[in-house]
Amino acid sequence: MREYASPSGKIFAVAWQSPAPPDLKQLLGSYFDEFQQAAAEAQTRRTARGPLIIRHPGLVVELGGHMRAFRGRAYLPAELPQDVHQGDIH
Amino acid sequence: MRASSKRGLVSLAALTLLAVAANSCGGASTHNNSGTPSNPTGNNVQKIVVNSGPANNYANGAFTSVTVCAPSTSNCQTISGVLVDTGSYGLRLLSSSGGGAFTLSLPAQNGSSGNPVAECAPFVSGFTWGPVKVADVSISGEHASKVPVQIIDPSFLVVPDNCKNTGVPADNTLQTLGANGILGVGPFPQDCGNACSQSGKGNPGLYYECTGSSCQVVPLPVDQQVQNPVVLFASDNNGVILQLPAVTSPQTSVNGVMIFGIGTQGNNSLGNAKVFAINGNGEFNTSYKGQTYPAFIDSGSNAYFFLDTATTGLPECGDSSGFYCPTSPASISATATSGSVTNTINFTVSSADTLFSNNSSAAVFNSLGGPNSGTFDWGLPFFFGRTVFTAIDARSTPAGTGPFWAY
Repeated sequence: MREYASPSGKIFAVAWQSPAPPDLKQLLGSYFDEFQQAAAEAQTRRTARGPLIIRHPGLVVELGGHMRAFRGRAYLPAELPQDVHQGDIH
Repeated sequence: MRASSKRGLVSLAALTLLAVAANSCGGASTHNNSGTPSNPTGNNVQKIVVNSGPANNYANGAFTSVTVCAPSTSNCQTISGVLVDTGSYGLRLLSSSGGGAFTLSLPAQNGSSGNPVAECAPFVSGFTWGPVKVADVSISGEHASKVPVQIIDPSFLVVPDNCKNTGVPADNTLQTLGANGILGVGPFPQDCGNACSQSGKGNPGLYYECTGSSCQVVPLPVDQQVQNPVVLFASDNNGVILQLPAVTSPQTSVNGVMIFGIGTQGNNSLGNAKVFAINGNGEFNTSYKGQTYPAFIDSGSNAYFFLDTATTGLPECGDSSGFYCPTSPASISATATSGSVTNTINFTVSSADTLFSNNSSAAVFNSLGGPNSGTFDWGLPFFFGRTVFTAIDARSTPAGTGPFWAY
């Protein structure tokens, strides 16, 4: 698990690799409900059977990997410091 | 956002993919990229089909049928429309309460306190929930006795909070699962392994013991966890081969075979297939434009899922969420490596929106691609025109001990 924090201490991103999916309710905190609704909505029109990507203006969550080896990341696009690119979060 | 703990990220081994010439093998006159004949027959050969599946909503799903019996009885049921998945481990059958075909009565797998065991089985975009039961399993002429399997059942007790807190939805219905079950034949014998046999915080929490309607995470011995049925076959139990024909345009249906065993019979030899060792995560490496990424081969993923728009230049789709939509078909080249073995894989990614709208009755697509940040997931299109070997962890083969991929 990696956390990414701004100089002021605000965590703007997290990335993980683990044998089972992490507790996103704990990890995402107040953003969990937004993610859960988006994941449920994605299921209703799902054609892709692979990674799950939720891309909102204020929240990005990407889930990937496979059974026994899950990986993912979540970040707040509006909170990324100017010198941090989304590709730096892994 | 907040995080509770910090652990180092895992780094991974190395690899490449390839196409090889034919080699000797008894019986058949033509060969493709390995020692297996192109029209294999035998007691270890099972037909598979790529089509839209039992819910008629799948693209690039490989399906087969499985016969399950109450242990040591002739009380059996054959379930068709079961997804063949090298990215998971173990047999899961969708109960009729979820709209599935499974109706057989099977004995429960009980935990150490004597109560029924249930599982929250994690997949990337959803989970399956339901009791673990014990069945005799037959596929082609192969038989396994007393196999712990999961019965996916949305009406079984109450889904635990630990399961819900992953945030992804339950895939407990025919519509959401898109299959009557999942046959996980990836390179490990169980869906969890040692981690789930431990007590405490290191346990990933897949298995529960239920009293009343309440289910608590419990440690479960490895041999009581949901098992890849292949390891419990009396023979041909060291791995599995998937063989599908080349696909050059969208199709409604394509036939192939699943062959059990590696180098155990005349119809399952490795021939000239290249062997790519994989790490404890079941992964090797693939490089693209000079950067190296973790990679895996997954028949249960329905596209080439790799990297992102910033890295590939391929835009995501407007309509088809989770896929790439280049304005014209894009040629992609990536290289897998394992020690001194390397192979370059060339493939094409076309617009998923265009593929789906122009081929509304098709279910087989060779040029579907989609994003997957920092990773290569070689999904079902990779299998088209290849013979792909999956060797199971700690099992002996003529090319050494698993786990490995070969093709």
